[in-house]
This record gives sequence, C-alpha cells and structure tokens, in this order.
Amino acid sequence: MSVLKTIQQLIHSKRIGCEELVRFVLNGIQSKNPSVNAFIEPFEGSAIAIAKLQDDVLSRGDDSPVFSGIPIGIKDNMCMEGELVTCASKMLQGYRSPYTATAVSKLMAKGFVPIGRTNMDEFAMGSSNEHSVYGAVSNPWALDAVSGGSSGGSAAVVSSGMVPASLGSDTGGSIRQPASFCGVVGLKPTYGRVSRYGLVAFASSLDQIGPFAQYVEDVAILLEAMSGFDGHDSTSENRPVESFSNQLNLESLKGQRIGVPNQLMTEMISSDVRSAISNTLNQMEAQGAHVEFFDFPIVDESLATYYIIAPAEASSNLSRFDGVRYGYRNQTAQSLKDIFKRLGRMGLEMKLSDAFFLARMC
Amino acid sequence: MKLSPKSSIIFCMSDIDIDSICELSCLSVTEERKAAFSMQIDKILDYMSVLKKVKQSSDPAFEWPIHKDMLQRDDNPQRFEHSLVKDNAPDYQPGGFSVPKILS
Repeated sequence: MSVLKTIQQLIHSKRIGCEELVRFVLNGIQSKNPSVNAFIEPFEGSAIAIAKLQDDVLSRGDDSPVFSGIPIGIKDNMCMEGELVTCASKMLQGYRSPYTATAVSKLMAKGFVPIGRTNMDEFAMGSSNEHSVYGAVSNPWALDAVSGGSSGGSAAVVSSGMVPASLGSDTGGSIRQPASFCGVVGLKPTYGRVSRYGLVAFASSLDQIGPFAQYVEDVAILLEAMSGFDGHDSTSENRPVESFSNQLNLESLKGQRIGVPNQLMTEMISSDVRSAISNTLNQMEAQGAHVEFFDFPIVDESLATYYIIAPAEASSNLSRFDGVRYGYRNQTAQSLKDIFKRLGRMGLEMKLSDAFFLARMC
Repeated sequence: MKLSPKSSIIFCMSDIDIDSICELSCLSVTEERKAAFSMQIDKILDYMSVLKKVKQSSDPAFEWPIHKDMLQRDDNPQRFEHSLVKDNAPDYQPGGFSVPKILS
C-alpha cells in the first residue's frame, strides 16, 4: 500500500492540482496542529510558490517530477534555503538557512514540497520531545502521552494525518523510537546511504537522515529518492541506489535470514511489544523467511559506548554555537568568556546543558 | 580540589570537583544543578564501568567494518553571498562582524 502513489495518481490524472493539495494540507495543519504541537512553522509562502510552478509544468504537459505536489514535513534541524532552522532551540532563533540540505533537495527534485518544519527535542537530544523551546509534542493517539523523540514532531505529523510523509534524523533511536510510539513507519538508513550535508550535526559518526510514512512502501519510495552519493558529505557512500520499493512483494522474504538478538527479547521489554514482534516474526516465517535467534553479548557495552561517543561529538559539534560564530549572544556579557558562561543558563534547555557537562567529563 | 588524570576520569571520579569542570568548560551551572550532578556522577561512572570488562582485541565484534576507501575528501561547498551571511551574523557592523573582546 502506498499513500504517495495514490496521491501521485490523483495529481497526474489532474483530479487534484498541486496548489490545491498544498493549500488543503496547510488548512489541515492550521486546524489539527494546535492540539499536537508537531509543526513549528508551515512554509506557507514557499510551498504555495513551488506548487504553482509545478501546476504550470503539469498544465503544459511537460515532463514533471513523479511526486509533484506531495507535501512533506522537515525536521527543524535540516536546512531549507530561505527558511528558519532553529533545532527547537533558543540558541538558533532567527537563523535563516542560506542553502538546502542534500536529502531535502533530492526529494524536491522528485517533486516533493517541503510544507513546514517539525518540532523536535533541542538539538536532537532527547527521547520524548518534551525538551523543545516550542513546547512538547503530544502523541496523536493519546494527547496526554509523549510522541517519543527526538524526531517526535516528524512522527506525529504523519501519525495525525497532517502530511503523508516527513523527514527526521536518527543518532541513537530518534527516528525509530518516535515512529514506534506514534504507530508509523520510520527508518534509520545505513550510515553513508543518505547525505548529511545540511543536517545540523549532533554526533557526526552516528547521525543519519531518514523518512517517516504510514506504509513501508512509502518509506522505501522516500529512501530511494533521498539516497545517493554527495560530494559535500565526506562519509557519503558511493554506490548505486537500488529500487527499494520494487523489491517489496510477497516473494521478497523467501530465503531471507532474519536475525533476532536474544538480549533484546528479554522480560525487560513489555509483553505487548514482545508479542507484536513475535507475531511479525511468525508472519515473516510464513512468507518463507528463516528466523534465527542469536547472542549479541555486548548490548550493555554498546549503550555505555554510545553515551561516551554521542555527548563527546555533540560537545565538539555544538561548540560553534558560541554566540560568536552562531547562536544566542547575551547582550549584557562583557567578554568572550562571559558569553560562554551565560550560554548554558540563557540559551540552552536543561537537558542540553547537562549533555555539555557530561561531555566535558569524558 | 585536584582533578583526576584524564585517563582515569571515566572510572574514578569520587574526588570530582564540579566547580573546576565548570570553570574549564566555561559553563555556568546553577547550585541546584551542581547538587544534582554530584548525586548523578557516581551512578554514571558505575554505569560506564561496564566497559572495563570488554576485551577489545579478541572480540570479532570490534573489527573495523568500513572499507578503507570509504572516506572521501571534503569538497568545497558552495560559497554564499556576503549579504546572506551578514544577515545571519549575531552582530554585524558596517565593514565587519562585531565580536566580543577576548580579554576582560
């Protein structure tokens, strides 16, 4: 199943126009967003302008991009030329990006229309989306529950039906966990598959941009569109992009080996989750896959290692937000050192200043 | 109070001096947060000590999985218009970017 292909057919058969669709989605954001707080700001002006151009191309009968007119949410840590990018932080308030992230521009080349920036934990540090200068994101399934994070806004905008797809970033679970909380499909691509150029860095050796959508097929379509080599990212992998969406069929699981780490299927996981995983594994086996349980004895060590690497890299990456090159500059500060000292108290949410502290210890 | 040598900071922090870390890091932390950090540090270090039991050299899980030729040279990204850059500067004065004085 694919929402994106359904909309694509509506647009290319001229049953709906690109501008009409964009305005419809913007109206939906206006009515639904206040209860979820998942969008920080819609890109009303640029989205309508792009959609009008796409309508012109379609009306002339010229070749038009496959997914023209389809709106997509962008996490507030990805650059979009001319639009604000703040990482949900007071530190970057007012910063307007001079260029567009490669992942976003690749999607735009396929016709997708960035419709707005989505809420997140400040600088992508968090797992609940409660640590945002714009306030917490609610889970569309239960408004008094969290959306997960740090890409909670991107998960919630898809889950609530405001947009058919969105982009998030994942360093230590920031796509996969909110996707799970909000009942949508989210994917962290293999490192190097999607360019990180234009993504505000958190931990450079772990960060990846990835898609959210309602269905696996849509995630495959988005991954296909945004993957590929980029000379602007020195860790971008130079290998051909497969047609992921064409590989999805009932035969595709036959003969595949699915590994399940024993250490991640313990009683520490809630019985509901274990039961859902078991059901999925049974379905995979029924379609010809071989499910194998295996030992992965360094799970605990992996997490401890993450909590050294991620804060240390974050400390290095975020040092540019010093109030001199980028970031909030306290007007009463008398010297450079004074500016730095006031940053933690004035510019950052509590969680982030904690991370800085932890990183300095390592 | 003297800070532990860097190599042992991870595993031996009982003599940690939070004021020293804050000073070296140029971080201004409230007294309330300092108290919270003091209570959390031992727990964090206990947690990290799980790494002491890893025998890195003999474990195949630690083999380098990335091809040597994977890393590439950074290309020079696009250059930006002066006007665009100055619009994002925290404090632009005609003719240059204003930065705070280094010495107080």
